Amino acid sequence: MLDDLYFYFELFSFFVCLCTYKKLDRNFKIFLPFLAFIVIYEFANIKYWTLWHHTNAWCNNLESIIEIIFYTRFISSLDKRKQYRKKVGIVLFIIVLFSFIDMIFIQGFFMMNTIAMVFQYSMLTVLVCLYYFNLINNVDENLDIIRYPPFWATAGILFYALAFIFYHVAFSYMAYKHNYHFFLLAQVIPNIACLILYSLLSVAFIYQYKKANSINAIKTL
Amino acid sequence: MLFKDEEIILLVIAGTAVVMLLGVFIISFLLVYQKKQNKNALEKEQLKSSFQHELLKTRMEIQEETLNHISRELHDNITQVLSFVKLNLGVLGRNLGEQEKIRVNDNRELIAQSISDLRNLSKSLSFEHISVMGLVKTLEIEAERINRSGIINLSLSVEGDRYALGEQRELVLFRIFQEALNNALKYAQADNFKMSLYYKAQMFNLTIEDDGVGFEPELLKDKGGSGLRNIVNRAALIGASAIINSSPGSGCSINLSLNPLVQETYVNGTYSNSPG
Repeated sequence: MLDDLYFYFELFSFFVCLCTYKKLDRNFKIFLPFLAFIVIYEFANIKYWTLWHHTNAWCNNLESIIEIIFYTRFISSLDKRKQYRKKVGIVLFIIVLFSFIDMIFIQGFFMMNTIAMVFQYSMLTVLVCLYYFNLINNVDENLDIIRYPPFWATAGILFYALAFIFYHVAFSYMAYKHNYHFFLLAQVIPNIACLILYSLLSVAFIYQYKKANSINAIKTL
Repeated sequence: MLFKDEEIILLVIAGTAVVMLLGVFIISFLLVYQKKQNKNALEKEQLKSSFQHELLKTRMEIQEETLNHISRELHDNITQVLSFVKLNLGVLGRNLGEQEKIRVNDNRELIAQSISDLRNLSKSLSFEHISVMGLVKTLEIEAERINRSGIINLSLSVEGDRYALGEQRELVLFRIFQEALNNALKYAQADNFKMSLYYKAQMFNLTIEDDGVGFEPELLKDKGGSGLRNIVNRAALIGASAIINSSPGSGCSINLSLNPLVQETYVNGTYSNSPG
């Protein structure tokens, strides 16, 4: 049960997103199909339906590419500068291209593409930091950051990316040695990372819902 | 080899913990920074509003000083000269025939009327009379003077047990009345002007109504209604709220309410001879 703790958080986040969907803005609305995909994917993983050649690494690799595309698009959509978004798009294209190169030529299709994943999570970390830098410099005087949904969503992505960087750095070396201690670590880190990410995403959905409600209340006054 | 594996695991744990702490630091920094920025913005806003308040106070102080100076000049100079002219005419009249005496006496009466009017005008301009006589008495004198002139029909009603609102508040309320009266005469072409004062235990209300041509409510937002904005600003200066209602053809009503128990700092402040 505890091994699959992250799945329950994904499920929880999905339901929060579903319940608040009508009040979410355009940037957050795309989380619903994404979370639906994540829930289905993780369920298939738990049920071992994704095993192929005794591994689900191939599936993980593809899922991490979808994840990086989605989160990068989400973070860049929070920025209004077209030039910046274009640059982010180019970097994303390079990372995705490298991920496929890693999958086909470097680490292989049935092995975890940890090199690509380290780059993916590093890129997410940098993007979130840039977003925060931009938020600090161009912050609206009336902005209450504690109740600002994009802040919580990006905080979740930041912790998620940071938690996975060192894990993936050591993964190739440790996992294929079948080290028991690393197996424990492989259980704990993704659980903690998912717990933080999906909790903060849920907080973001709830704040978005509250914000939309308060705007409606002001309009009806 | 096992030792080395454990070292790597420790490295992964420590590394992950460190980067997670870094994440916590980034988030905390952002929160603290934003809090500080909000605080600064609030302080800036407060400074701006306090500056505006001071500016308004100074403006009104200067205005009061000018009005007081004019009032003194009227009282001490012009009325004195007129009194001297009246006295001289009296002396001159003694040596004239009956026909001329009547003419001189008529002129003396006219001068006496002018002196009386100038004295009343001087009283309405000076803050000293309000501090001595109080708001209600001053308004009564003013109403009598206006009604006597016949330019407008002014009615004044006072309800409740009268109490002193403080020298400066009463002066500001009197100046608001003057501004409203000026508007009614100058722009509204009103025939009737009604003033009602309600003295309640925790609330003082002043209602000013006229039956003039009225104006579009949008005028309050425009630069054109500077007199009306003056009323709102003056009211704010004594901690009162002013609501102005009007529409074309239905006159204008100004409702001022203030809590007499709440003492604004400047009311007990150092400016004893001005509203500021």
